[in-house]
Amino acid sequence: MVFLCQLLPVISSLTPLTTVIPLVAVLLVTAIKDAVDDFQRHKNDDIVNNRLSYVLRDGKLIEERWHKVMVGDIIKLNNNDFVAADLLLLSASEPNSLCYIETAELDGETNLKVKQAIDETAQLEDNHDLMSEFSAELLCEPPNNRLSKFEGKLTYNRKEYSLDNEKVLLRGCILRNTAWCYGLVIFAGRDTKLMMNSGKTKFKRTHIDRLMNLLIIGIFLFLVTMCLICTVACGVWESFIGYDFQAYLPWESFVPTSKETGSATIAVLVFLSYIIILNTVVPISLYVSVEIIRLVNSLWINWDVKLYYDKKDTPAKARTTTLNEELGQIEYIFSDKTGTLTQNIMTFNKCSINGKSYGDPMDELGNMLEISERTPKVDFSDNSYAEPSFEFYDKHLLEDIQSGVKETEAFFRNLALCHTVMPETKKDGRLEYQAQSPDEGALVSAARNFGFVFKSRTPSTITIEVNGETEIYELLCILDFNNVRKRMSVIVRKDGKITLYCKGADSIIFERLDPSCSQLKELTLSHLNEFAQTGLRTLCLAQKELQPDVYDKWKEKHQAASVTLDNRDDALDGVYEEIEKNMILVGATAIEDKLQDGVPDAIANLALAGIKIWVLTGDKQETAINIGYSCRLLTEEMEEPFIISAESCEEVQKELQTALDEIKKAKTSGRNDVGVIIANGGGGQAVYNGTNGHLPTQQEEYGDFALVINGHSLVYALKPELEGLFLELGCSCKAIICCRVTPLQKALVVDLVKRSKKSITLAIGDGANDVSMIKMAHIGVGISGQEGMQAVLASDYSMAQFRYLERLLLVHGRWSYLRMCKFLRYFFYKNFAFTLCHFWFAFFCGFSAQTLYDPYFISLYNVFYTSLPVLVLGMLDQDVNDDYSIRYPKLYTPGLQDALFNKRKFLWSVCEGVISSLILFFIPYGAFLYTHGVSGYDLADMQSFGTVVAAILVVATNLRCALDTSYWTGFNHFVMWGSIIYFFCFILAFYSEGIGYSYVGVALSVFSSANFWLCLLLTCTLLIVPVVAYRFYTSNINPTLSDKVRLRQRIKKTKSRSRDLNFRRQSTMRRSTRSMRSGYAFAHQEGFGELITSGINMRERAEDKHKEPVTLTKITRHDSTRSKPPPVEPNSNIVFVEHL
Amino acid sequence: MAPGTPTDSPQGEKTKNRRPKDTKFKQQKLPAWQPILTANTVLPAFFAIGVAFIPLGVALLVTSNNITEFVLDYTNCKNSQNPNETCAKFFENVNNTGLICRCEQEVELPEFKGQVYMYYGLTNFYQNHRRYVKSRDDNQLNGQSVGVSSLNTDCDPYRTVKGNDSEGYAPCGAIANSLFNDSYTMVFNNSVPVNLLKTGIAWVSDKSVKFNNPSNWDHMHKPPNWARPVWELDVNATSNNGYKNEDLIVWMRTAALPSFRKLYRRIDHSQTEFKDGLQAGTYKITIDYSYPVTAFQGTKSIILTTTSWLGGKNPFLGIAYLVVGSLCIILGVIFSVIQLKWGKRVGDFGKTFAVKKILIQNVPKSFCLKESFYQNQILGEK
Repeated sequence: MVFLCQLLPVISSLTPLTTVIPLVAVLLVTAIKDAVDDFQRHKNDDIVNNRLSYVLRDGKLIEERWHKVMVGDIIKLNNNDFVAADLLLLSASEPNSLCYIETAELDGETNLKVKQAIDETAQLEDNHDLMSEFSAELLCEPPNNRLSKFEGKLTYNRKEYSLDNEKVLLRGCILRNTAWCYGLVIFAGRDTKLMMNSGKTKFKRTHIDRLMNLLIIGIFLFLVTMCLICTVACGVWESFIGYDFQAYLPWESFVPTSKETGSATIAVLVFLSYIIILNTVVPISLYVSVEIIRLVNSLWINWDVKLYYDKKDTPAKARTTTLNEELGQIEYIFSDKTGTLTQNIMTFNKCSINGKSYGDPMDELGNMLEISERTPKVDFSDNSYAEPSFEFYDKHLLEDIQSGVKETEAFFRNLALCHTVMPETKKDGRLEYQAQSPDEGALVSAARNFGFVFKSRTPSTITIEVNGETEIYELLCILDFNNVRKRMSVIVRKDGKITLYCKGADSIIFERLDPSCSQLKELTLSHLNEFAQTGLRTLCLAQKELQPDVYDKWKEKHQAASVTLDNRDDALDGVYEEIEKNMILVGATAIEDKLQDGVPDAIANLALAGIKIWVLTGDKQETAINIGYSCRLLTEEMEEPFIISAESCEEVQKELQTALDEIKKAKTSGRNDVGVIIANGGGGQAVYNGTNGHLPTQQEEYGDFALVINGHSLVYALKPELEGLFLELGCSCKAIICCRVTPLQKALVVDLVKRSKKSITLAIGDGANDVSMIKMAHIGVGISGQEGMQAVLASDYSMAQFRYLERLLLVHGRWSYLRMCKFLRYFFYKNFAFTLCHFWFAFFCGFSAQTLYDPYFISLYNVFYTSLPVLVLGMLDQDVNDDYSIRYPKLYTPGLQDALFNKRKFLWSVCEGVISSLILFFIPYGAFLYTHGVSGYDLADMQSFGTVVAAILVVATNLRCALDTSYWTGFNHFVMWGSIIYFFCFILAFYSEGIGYSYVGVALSVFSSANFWLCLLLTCTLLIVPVVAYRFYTSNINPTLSDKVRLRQRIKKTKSRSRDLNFRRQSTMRRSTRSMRSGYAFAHQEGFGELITSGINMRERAEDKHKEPVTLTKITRHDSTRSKPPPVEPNSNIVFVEHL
Repeated sequence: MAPGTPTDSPQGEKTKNRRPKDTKFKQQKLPAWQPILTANTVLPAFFAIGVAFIPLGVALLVTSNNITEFVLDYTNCKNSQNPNETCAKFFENVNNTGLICRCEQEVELPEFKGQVYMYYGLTNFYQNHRRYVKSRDDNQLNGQSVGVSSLNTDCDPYRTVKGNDSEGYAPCGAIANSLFNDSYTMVFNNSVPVNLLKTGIAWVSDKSVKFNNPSNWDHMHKPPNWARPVWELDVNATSNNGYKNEDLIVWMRTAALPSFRKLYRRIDHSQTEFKDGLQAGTYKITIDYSYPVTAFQGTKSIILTTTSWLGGKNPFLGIAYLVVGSLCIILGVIFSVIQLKWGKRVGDFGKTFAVKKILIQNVPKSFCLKESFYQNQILGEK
């Protein structure tokens, strides 16, 4: 618009070129940047879109790109493939057309889930001819985002089959333990449930962007005000002086000749003219400069070798280049658990057998050793079944086994027998386990490594190999796991001896022990405490010998219960209860749900920085709490977390209210005995930790309370009437864990905080189930390097490990924020100082909108004379180095408080700019009024005066930038001094005779006068000294933490250059004195026990034609489908299914 | 799925091509100077500025005061033909426009040492008005053959002769048209006329580059206010005639401020009477007054002055340097006092440092023990 105004010669005081040059430069840079951004985004999308899947077309399998998969296609999936679309399972390689899928991408649950095809379609098997002739009608619900529900109807061969979730494979799942399967595409592309869940991609803008837009409006109003002042003044001037001055300067011909109307006409035109010349207060180059700085700051992230994950060859990546400074203002982090905090690897870490604890490596003297790369591992090479990946450090356990300690053998026998793991012998002879939950897999594989190898199972036998000898156990019964029982047992018979092996949560097992082992119980309990405190998941093992008659009696009851029609589960539970008592304690296991490296440290440090971390996971409550402890999100010093798990609106409200009341009560009674209290007194942010509490505490929301809330309760807590309460509670707690939440709920929680708290939120996750929250949060971070790409594609930043978040926020985020704030403050200052000189000049040129400077100077000022130093500042500046940034996480708080750039800081910059412009104009005014050169020549002409002010302006603003620069690299020196020198050289050359510009000779004349140099020195001193004085005053009298750390950094550097700065915390283990806490957690799902005993998932199949067909009712809990008799395999072992 | 291959195999090394380069630049570890405003640097700087500026200010003030300057405001001088009438009044009569009103003034001058320059000064004259500034055609003044039709339209209404678009003004525009046309002569002791040099008063670059005469003056007319056409401005010297006329050149270099001085003449010091400057004594200044300014409350004056290395007489810089220098000294003193007082409050500073120990959890003991050492260092800094 301004540009168009300039084309009107009547009002234009500048040549159109003055606006064209910056405009073109700006547009060019923006265009290039956007093109690069777009290109990158497309490249990433293409990776997913171009993933290949096998599609059946015309009876042949062809490779087709994902984005070309269409509804109605039949797709073949191989093991470990990603499901490309929502599919109806037609057939699968596993017996009875079962297939296993991992849904971690969708809901974060790590256990495998079973899906089964309809029998009729299962007959198609992998026959492509039949497949391609497959013709059916499928009626289903419209695309929606419910992951756990599917309704549909398949009409095939004139028969109708009802379809539910059990027959559908959703996009984002991974096929596991299944050689192949075929599926019919129901929904593709955007219609898939995964995509429906991922929310809309919103254009994200930073807080500072929004503030900037507001400020620009403010500046514009200011501009209009100035122009109005000039307009009125112009009217007055024209009628009092200009009218009479017409003898020498007549009004333009179109202006009315009468004094009043003529003046008014001129004044109105001058308004537009002043808009043109003062519009440089709203610099066009601002946005571009901001974008460039952000881009470079993103590059630093991409280039940071400390954010590079060696093992996966994954560097961090800033996928969005426009959000950097917001990384320095994060107040809430919403984190996924599985794959983000944890590695999703379970390892058998410790155990307690017969009152003896194993697992901590000791040296000869019995001192505990820290586990590191160099700690010698136990050598399992004698065992041909040992897995190289298995690590155990305590050699005593193996020694005890080898010396044949009875209890130890019993312990591992228990592990080898009591589970629902399926063995699989690979083609190369390797034995592999397919565990439904990683915990269970870890236990069985531990037993295997210690020489108790679970080799194979049939529906009624379990074969293990102990020290080379094969033992076959007759499997009598599996007392399966469920959430209420929190335990599972198997009853096996060998050599006529019937034994019940049981494993489960300690509290549950301890209640059912024989009184005779109370002493052992105490010992084991203390071990369990120890394990639990180090964040391990614990399970207790027990066993019991059964007399055959007791078993037979029980078996009858069991039979009766299992055929009950109503409440069969309850009836079975009751029966199980009867036999699982008076057991003998064997020991306890401790499994480590392996956290990603450095997670506890990162969380602790982020918390110290004042960032609140919420964990949102689809996992179970126990698992989530357990991880909360092990990653030090929940600490022992905290109160027991409030658990909200009610199922109705009223109850949730009640529970929330109770929790809140309790917190309030604790606070009013002054129980600030532990924890970090933040004193936010003015600029100095110091952290005090202590029991005396003598310091004023303005912000007490950092209590030591934690909240755990369930998905069901969250449904109600997120309702409008309760969300306030929930938020209040959430914010008074130090740690919040939401478990069993759906992807959409994750987004809703993020949205709630984002909406109501006006804080900056960050969401981090790895799977497709995190996409919605990643998109919702101000900043989304995806864990890359995993198989899934969904989270990364939706994210703004991607990195390989959670711990890098610490560096991303505390170093890169903080620097980016600091740089951006410095840049903006300076930029506004610079433009006000520059532009307002015109305003002061207006008082001397009859408000005629005459520019003070050379028009070329105006167009080059922002782009060439002053932009580079501040751009480099915005790219390279750092107040303290990265090590110190991490060591003093409190340095992050200015970002949280929005302290470095806000309306106040902006006004301050503007005021500084205005004052500077006054000095910049009036010092030369005073010095050049009525002066002349040494040889009498004119010096106070327009061109010279303008050049004087311009030169001083360039030098002074660059010096001011120098003052703001706290990290002077070679680049800074180069552009800083370069800009000044360049200005002088350019002016000299441009105003020289050769060019023939109208300013010819001005530069030489000005620069050769002493007056100019004296003016320059004086003005610069006058502009710099007060700033130095003010900064010196604040940094000495009221220093910010940054000032102090800076000083400290320097002292450190000068005093001990050779000192190693690496003070990273080493230990992640913390001992504490808190009482018992159950570490029980088991990512297990019921149902596998029945699969096994019914033999449905067995490859070796019994010849049991005479038996009635095995029904699938137990698996699917639906009576709608029936499986056909298992196929007969002639060479299989004769094993009868002990049918229920 | 290349990731996950063993780290130590050579192939593994090859696949690790996404590792960012560990250069100082990319890791933002470039060697850098990190200045801190400490008492050690800031306080001496303040005193240094003070110590440097005050003498400089004094020197500037002395220099400025050593310049001899004489200013005569003749806006309302008497018409020598009609002593009852001021020249300003004379021009209020519209009929007198274009005529000359002569006035004579006898002035007592002090002694002027060195080269003396004669200026005319105008006030409230807006040479810097936007419409005025642009009302010229630099190409025309440069002697390029600018046809009448291609004259800068900003010259209006002094671009073409009214009613005849094929006839233009030379030079065109309001600046040229309003050329200052009072003239002065000066006589010492009623007997010795002071020789005034009318060349060497314009910028050398202006005269040699910016202003050139065209090959012909076809279709060009004198601006309305002018008595003679531009090619007759100085018929005696071709190098000072036409656009090359220095009075014109000086006038065309528009002033930045509404009150300004422009060089009118140089005193010819080759005259034996005035070889060291101007003698003290009585001078009669005759002014041919033909430039009315009172209509817009302007004033006119004639100025005689010597120069120094600084240029003209202007005490502003001297005073400003004195003020700024003093302020720096005062600031230095204030900060020194604060510094001393603050020095007693070491405890606070130490505390904040000590408190930070808690932040650095699990930092090796040796580091924490160093705290007192650092405190001393910080104290030592003062």
